[in-house]
Parts: sequence; C-alpha cells; structure tokens
Amino acid sequence: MALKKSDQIEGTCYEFCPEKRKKRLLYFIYCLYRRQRQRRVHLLERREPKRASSQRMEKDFLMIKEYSRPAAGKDATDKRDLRPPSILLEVVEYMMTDLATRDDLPWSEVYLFVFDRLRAIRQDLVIQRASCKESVRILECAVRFHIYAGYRLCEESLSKFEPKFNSDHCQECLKRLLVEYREDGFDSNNRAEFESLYILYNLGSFEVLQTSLQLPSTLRNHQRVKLAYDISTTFLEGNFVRLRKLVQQCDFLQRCAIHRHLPLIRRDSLAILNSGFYSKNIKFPVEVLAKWLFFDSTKEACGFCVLNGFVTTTDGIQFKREVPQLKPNLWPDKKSHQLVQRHFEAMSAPNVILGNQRNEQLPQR
Amino acid sequence: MAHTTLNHYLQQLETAFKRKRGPQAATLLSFKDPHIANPRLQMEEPETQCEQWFEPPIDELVAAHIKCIWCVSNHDFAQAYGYQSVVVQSFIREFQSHKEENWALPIMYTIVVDLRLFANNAELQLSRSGKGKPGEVLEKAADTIMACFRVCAADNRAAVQDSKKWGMLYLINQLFKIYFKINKMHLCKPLIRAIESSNLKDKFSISQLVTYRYYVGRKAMFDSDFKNAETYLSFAFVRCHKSCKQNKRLILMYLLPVKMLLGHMPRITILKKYDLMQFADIAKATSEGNLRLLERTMAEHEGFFIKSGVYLILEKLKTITYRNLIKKVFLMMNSHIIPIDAIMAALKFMGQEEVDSDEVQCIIANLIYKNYIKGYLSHQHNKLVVSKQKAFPPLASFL
Repeated sequence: MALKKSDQIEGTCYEFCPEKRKKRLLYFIYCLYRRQRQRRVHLLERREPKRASSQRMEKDFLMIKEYSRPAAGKDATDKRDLRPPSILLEVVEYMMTDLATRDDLPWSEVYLFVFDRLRAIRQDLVIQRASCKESVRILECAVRFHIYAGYRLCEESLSKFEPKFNSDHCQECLKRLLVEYREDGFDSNNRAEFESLYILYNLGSFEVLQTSLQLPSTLRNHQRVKLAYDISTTFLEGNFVRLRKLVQQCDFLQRCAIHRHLPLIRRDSLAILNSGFYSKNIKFPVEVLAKWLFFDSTKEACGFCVLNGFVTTTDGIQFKREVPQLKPNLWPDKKSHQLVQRHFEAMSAPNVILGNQRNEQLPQR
Repeated sequence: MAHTTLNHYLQQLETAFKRKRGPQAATLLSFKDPHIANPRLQMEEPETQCEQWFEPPIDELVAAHIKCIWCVSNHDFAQAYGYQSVVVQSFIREFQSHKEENWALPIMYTIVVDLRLFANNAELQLSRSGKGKPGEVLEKAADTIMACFRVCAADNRAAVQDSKKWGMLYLINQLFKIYFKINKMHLCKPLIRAIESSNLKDKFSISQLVTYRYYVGRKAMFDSDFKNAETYLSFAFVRCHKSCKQNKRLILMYLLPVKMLLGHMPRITILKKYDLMQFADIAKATSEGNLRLLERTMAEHEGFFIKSGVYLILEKLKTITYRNLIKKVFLMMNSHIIPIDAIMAALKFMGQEEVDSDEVQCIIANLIYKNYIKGYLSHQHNKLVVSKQKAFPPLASFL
C-alpha cells in the first residue's frame, strides 16, 4: 500500500513504441503485403500513406505502443517495454496535435485509435506507479479527450462509438487525476477546471457534491467550482430555468460535460412541467418548452413530447392529470446547438484537449 | 498485569482458551488492557514460545498479537495493522472449527475493533507521509471483517443460544463505521438486508441496535428516504442511554434536519440542552419562509454543517421555505388566483434579486410536483391558481 521509492519503476523505452514490438510489427507488415492479411498497422501510424508499398521504409511509420490486456505469464514490468512519463507526455501531445486533426478518415476511427493508445499510456503509468507532473498533465489531457469525444461522437451508432465505455474510462481518469491532486500533492493550475468537470460530469450526484464541499476553501470558492456546484444543486432542486441561466456561464468543455445529462434534465423537467402546468383548458406553449429545455427548434421539442406520450397541437402541449410514463433515455443521440454546437466550430480539437483555450470564456448570448 | 513475564501471560491465555472463557481471553488480547504496556511482552519474534504453548492456528494468533504490541510500542501503526490482520485471520480459522458453540465471540469483538482502530491510525500515518491511496487500508480491514461476518452468518446448525449469528450485528456496525468513513455507503445495502431478514433482528442488545439504527438512519438520509430516516434516527435517539450525551448529540445532529424536512421544527430547549443552537435560526427561517435568514445562517455555520455532513440536507429546506413564503403571499392576497408578480416581489424582497417570472414559475411548478401546493400554473396569464380546499397541505401528510 505504501508507495515506496523502490516500487516505482522508470521505463527505459524512449521511443513511442518499444523496439521488440516495432520489429515484430514491421516484419508483420512485410508478411502482410505478401499475404494480404488484416492490417495491424493502423493508418494513423503511417506518416506517408501515399508511398507505394515496395518503397516503404521504417521511418515512414510512427508506431505507437498498443494497449494489450495484462495476462498471466506476460511480464509487463520489463523496463525496455515501458516508456517513462516524459515520453508518454510527448506521445499524448503528438496524438492530440497531429492525429486528432486528421481528416482522411472518420473521426470515430481516429477516436478508437487514440483511445487505444491512450489506454496503453495509462497502463505504462500505472505499472511504473508514476506520480509526477507529467502524469498529471497526461491525465488532464485524457479527461478532456474523453469529454470532448463524448460530445463529438454522440450521434454515431453504437457500432462506431460506445458512450458508456467512453464514460467509464473518463471517470477512471478523473478519479485518478483527483487522487493525484488531493493526495499526492500535485497542485496544477488546472485543478479548478477539473474539480468543476468532475462535478458536472456527475451532475446531481450527492456523493460528489459532498466531497466537493470538503475541498479547501480557495478551491471551493473558485469561480469554476462554485459554478459547477451551483449547477449541480440547482439540477437537484429541479430549477431548470435557473440551470439554463447558469449554463450560459460555462465554457466549452463544461458544456460538453453537461450535454451528456441532457436527456435526464429534459425528462425530469417534463415531469415537473406536467405537474405544475396541468390544466384541462390551458395548453402549454411549445416554444417556451423548447427554450427552457435546450431544444434547437419547436419541431424538435414537439417530437420529444410526442415520443413521451403527449399530444401537441398548434395551441401547445396538453399536459395530463396522471403521472406520465416517460421514456428512459440514457445517452444523448443528437448534438444540441443551443447548448454546445454553436461553440463547436470555433474550437479545434488540439486546443480543447491540450487546454490551450482553457482560460477563455465563451461570449454570453 | 503490566509486569508479568511472557510465560505467565501465555499461561493465562492458554487457560482461558482451554476453559473456553471468552471474556477473559478477550481481555488478554485487547489493546485496552494494561498488558500491552508491559515491556516483557514487546517482542519482535515470539514464535518459539507461542508454539510451545499453543496449537496452530492459535500460536500464530498469539504471536501476531505480541508482534503487534511490539509495533505499537514503536509507533509503527501500519505494521501493527498488518499483524492485527493476521490475528483476525488466524482467529477466523480457529472460530470456524468451533462447532455449535460461540464462546469465542467476545474475542472476535475485541480483535475486530482493534483492527479497525489500527487501520484508522495506519491511514493517518500513511497520508501524512504522502504514501498510498486514501481508504486502501480501511477497505482491506473491511474485507477481513467481512470474512468474520460470513462465518457468523453461515452458522445454521447451532441452537439459538450457541449460534455465532449473535456476532452479526456487532460486526455490521464496525463495517458501517468503515464504509461511512471511506464514503462507500452503497456497500451497506447487503448488510442491512442480512440483518432485516434475520430472525434475531430485534433481539440484539440495545446498544448494538441503537448504533445500527443510527447508521441505517444516516444512510436513509443520504438516499433521501426521509420518512424511514426519521423512524430509525428517532429510535436511536430515544433508546440511547441518557448518560451518553455525546452520542445523543450526534444522533440529534442528523435527526433534526430530517424532522425539519418533514415539517417538525425543534424546540429551543432541546437545542440548548444538546448544544446545537446552530439549528435555531435554520428552524426559524424555514417556518417563517425567510429565505434571507436561511441563506445567512447556512453561510454563518457553513464549517460546522459541512463537517457534520448535513449541509446538503439543509439546503433542501429551501423548498419548505419557499412553500411557507408563498403561503404567506396567498394569505395576504386572500384569493385563490395569485399573480406570479406578487410572488416574485416577495422573493425579491427576501434577497433573491435575480429571479424573473420564468424562474418563479419553475420554482412553483416544483412545489406542485412535490405536492407541497395543490393547484396549477398558467404561463400565458402568469398566474398561479390554487385549489379552493387545502391549497397548502400540512407537510407531514404527504411526505
């Protein structure tokens, strides 16, 4: 349990991919072209994708160590296979700058590749029991990557993107990052950003709010953390009008973190609206519902109401006396222009993930 | 006791085991007993002597206990925890071989408490030196205690008076203490199920039942199940012996917010008696619908409320405060059709300067949704129409 100095290993692999594997993979490529087998070298590991196969050289590939499941009998602690934290950070920065902006393939595939290589990076960190400013920076980028991807790929089918899997890994990275901040004493300038993302990503979680109350007061009173705390408690109170007002102060990533809760926010709000505004003779105006619940058009809002068993006409929505049976909808399947998308075009993936625009607030509209 | 030789100590312990004297053996293995201050028992390697007096696994148990004494004398609590863990694990092996008898239960109680206390100390030591993950040691302790629990719970054959099942509640209470400390309250659920389905449920000792209900009550609070929380915590408070004033105060700290959420405000006398005057203005603000006073009091005693873990619960009192404020407006207007603007004016008067009519409608919609108000809103007319009968039902009637 005690992290003694002797428990920490320092890897000696100064390449992005350990020699052993590289040679094995390169050999594999030559076999591959001879035997036309399924590619094990990813398109994203090729620097010059257009060069003819016979002319391909080792330097045409920038291979990155893949994730492999720990298995009995496999020695994962061979120093030559482990990349030290400084190299791992370089890999992350390379991936998020060069690869995350590649447009020769669908972003869902870029995501899968980066996710896998990121997992291998995290694995190297865990095996080396690394706890340093590089590991903090790597985890920060990982969290931003997962939150960003969770939004960007929300409209993809399940076969291309699995929101739960993405979310689970995001939570893992967040928890590990917070432990490094809170227990290992690595206070980064970005801590407030991530404490706030933790709260928003776990919107409405009593447990998370409780732990955030126990943060040191300078952090608890930081604008970002206070905002996140307010938003989460406001959500618990059911005050969705106030929630919407507060969200206007959020930056891009905070909005992405909230976006995943949109189906739940809408569902809870619809139940509250139904109770509060039910009347036999008066219908509720759809435009107001659309505005209050972050819909991008009255058409979309109507669709949502109909899906949940309500009748809508030109006069508005007819609410019901009895408690409605609402559709449980776990993950958002449509980007929200009002909440996030209108800010999306201005953001480049590297800037978001590497945090180069973290201090910029979005213009209030 | 504090000056016997090792052999004399071992002899006393051996007698206790041979004659099945649970309480005596327990005392000899307890860290509250003066024998732990005896320098002749602070040995690093007592295995040889232990093996002379005892058969396995008791020889391991005793050796580990003595090594633990030695660690404690050196203030090495992380190591002490390790050895205490061995004590418990050896005990489990021995306990399992006791068929249809439970004389060793007092030993189990003692060593398990010591295990938890050492785990606490080890965590403190480790966190000060910046090592290890927080909660790791306590989790391991919990796993060990669970192993004891399984032995007790699985005792189906023995007659009631000899059953190991009597040890269940004590262990559960220890586990509760750990789970609450490491914030893993969801792990309490299977334990609660085990007790509720046991036929010994109401026959355990009162002190154990009080502790149990205290934790189950707190968990119910956490799950927003306030009705049950009130039942459990009330039991704990009433049945807790009046001499345990500190414990009564602790229970009250959680019972008060729950009662307030159910609309029952505490009397000043009780707040004064248990030194909990911080709740006085909270109660006053809530019943008067005074949002401004509520916010001010929450801010003033923020540290106290956060430390005792009731801050978030108290924030829920805002709902009742809104309800009481709106009721006042209703009574003033003397009409069952209330303009939203009137309510908005009242809220602004109470310090909520930034609300607009949309937000007021939203707040009221929530009150209607939760049955605090009977009526409906009209967005287009910007009015609240309340029921002509019982527009503001009494709080306890629906919660």
